[in-house]
Amino acid sequence: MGGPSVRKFLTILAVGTLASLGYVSQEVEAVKIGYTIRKQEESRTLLLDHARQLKYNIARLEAPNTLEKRLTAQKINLQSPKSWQTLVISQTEGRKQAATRSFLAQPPILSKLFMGTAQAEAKES
Amino acid sequence: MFVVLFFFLAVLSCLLVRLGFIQLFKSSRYFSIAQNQSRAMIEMPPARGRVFDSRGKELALDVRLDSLYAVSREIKNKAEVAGKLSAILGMDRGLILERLSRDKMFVWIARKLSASKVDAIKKLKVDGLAFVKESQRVYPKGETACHLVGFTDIDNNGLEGIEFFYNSYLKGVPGWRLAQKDAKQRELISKQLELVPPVDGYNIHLTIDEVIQSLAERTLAETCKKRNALGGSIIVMDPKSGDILAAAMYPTYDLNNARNSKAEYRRNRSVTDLFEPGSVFKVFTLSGVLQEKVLSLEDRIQCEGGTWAVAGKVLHDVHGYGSLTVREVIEKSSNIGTVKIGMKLGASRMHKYIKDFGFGTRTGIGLAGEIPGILPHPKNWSRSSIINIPIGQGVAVTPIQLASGFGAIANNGLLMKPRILTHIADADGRIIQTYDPEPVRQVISKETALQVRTVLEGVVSRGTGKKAVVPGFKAAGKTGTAQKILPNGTYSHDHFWASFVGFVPYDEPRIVVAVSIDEPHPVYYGGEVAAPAFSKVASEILAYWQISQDQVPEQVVKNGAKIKKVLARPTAAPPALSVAQ
Repeated sequence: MGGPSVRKFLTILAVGTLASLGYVSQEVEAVKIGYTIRKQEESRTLLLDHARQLKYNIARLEAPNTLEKRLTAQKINLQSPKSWQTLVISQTEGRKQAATRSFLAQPPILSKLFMGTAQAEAKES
Repeated sequence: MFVVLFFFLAVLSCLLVRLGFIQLFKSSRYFSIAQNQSRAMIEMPPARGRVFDSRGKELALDVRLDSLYAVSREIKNKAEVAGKLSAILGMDRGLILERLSRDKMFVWIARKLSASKVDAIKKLKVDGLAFVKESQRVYPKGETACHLVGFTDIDNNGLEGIEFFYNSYLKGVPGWRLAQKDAKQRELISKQLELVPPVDGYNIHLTIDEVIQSLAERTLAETCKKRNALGGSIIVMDPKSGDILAAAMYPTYDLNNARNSKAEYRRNRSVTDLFEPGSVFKVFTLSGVLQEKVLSLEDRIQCEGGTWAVAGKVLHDVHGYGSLTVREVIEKSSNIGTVKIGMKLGASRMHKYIKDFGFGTRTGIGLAGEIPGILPHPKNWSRSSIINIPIGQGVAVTPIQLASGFGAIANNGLLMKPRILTHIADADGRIIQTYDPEPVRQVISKETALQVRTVLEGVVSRGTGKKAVVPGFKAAGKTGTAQKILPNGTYSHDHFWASFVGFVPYDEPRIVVAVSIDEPHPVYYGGEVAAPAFSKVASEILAYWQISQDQVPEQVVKNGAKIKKVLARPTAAPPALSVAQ
């Protein structure tokens, strides 16, 4: 009579202890993961801040008045083309022929697969 | 033995009683203290919305910077720390010391610091100094479109321009989270108790084009400097949609340093400057006359040789003319002729047309500080009003109203509401609100508008606006030189508004450009001061848009041989001509 009930008690105790240990271990793990997530969130925020600052810098450098000021400082005196210096060529026969010529001047499509473009080569270097 | 047992039982009983007392009567207090120590309400600020131009270029955005605060109780040698901070921050040492001496857990020392200053302070390794991130509004384009975009205060609330007018859309809604903290005051994410996420501010997309804005601003600044003017504005508008492509004002200020600028520099002249338009207004008189068929363009008007006494006043023309056709009256900008045709139209009809063109009421563009202008009702007209108003005196308009009115003529008589915003979108690009082009009313018929346009083309090709010629294109417009009113109510003979409003290309107008220059001197005629600015801005915009020229310009004819070469080899870049395709 005492034997099976002691065994039953011990089994319940063992299962209970294991479950408690498991629960505690999960809780500790969750807290640890929480710390890691927080750290990663902080570094993500820092990177996003940095990205925003870089975006700002790019936008500032691209601003037409900034470019003009830099050119003036470097004494590069560029001027917008006068309208008589700018010809807009409409879709004429000549333009179509020029487009065909420039298409033919390009390497065949298949050979493109085995050739790097100038841009790609520049990036690699 | 019994004594010892009794002693322990007594102590245990005391402890149990104390425990019971605490549990029953003090638990809520200690519970609250424990919660205060282990829980924290963390505010989550929203990101302020950005402002974009029509091509998606950012005009205003946020960056996050460190702000320095002190837990003054934890700082031991306050005087020494104040000295070191003063050297780094460039602030008064006494001010810093006063802040450090406050017995508080949180005192601001300096906000939104540069990275170099933050690094220098971190190197001091002072306990009790810490940083918190705050967002700072920045404007990558500096002075470009400063009057339109506006700026914010240190707490990111809009103070001027779009930043102010659309602050409720831009600012967003802050969120918060209730979190559990450990003994080291680190947040336990797994024990997050409540979360209300922030809603970021919406992004605002403007109709202006950064490049066109820069072109207009550069030309305006050059004109104002060259002509010794107090200031001015250039508005570029798409007559079909009412889109404002550029609204340049002078003087300008740097948005990133707005607090150090003069208040008068920040005025958005396009909607707040009120001036008597002068001769540019004759166009609206003509429009009414032609629409009502009171006169035709070829009817003749006697211009009295340049001097005419009427209604107790003596009217003068700059040059004396005899008999002119209605077309010539406007081309040569005869005051006498215009008053005569205005009198034939009559007060009530003239008032109707002026009002229908949008004068005397706000355009509703959606910019802070817009004023309606002054257009007296015929009931309140004086004896001389019928002489003044047809030639743009006795009424007051804003530059945006002028651009809009000319836009109606360029748009076949249909007045469009000026539009500065295309849409508002959330951070993920979902459209929250759109602002579609909005027709206001058909002011004059298409036929009348075309007639008026022919006259305005004559003003540029033969009349007072010859300096507004846009090489390669047929342009149309009207000059204006208006005397400013002195504080005593009389007209000044030394202070003028010079203006030119026109559109181009003549056949299919793509842009309306309104140039207004405040007090140029010594040269002050609209045809001399404002017309060249129109020509320059219009030429540059058409070149930027690569619009086909509808005329072969004189210079091209001279360089005919080169052109032939260019056309034969369209991909080659000739030395004298750049080819845009």
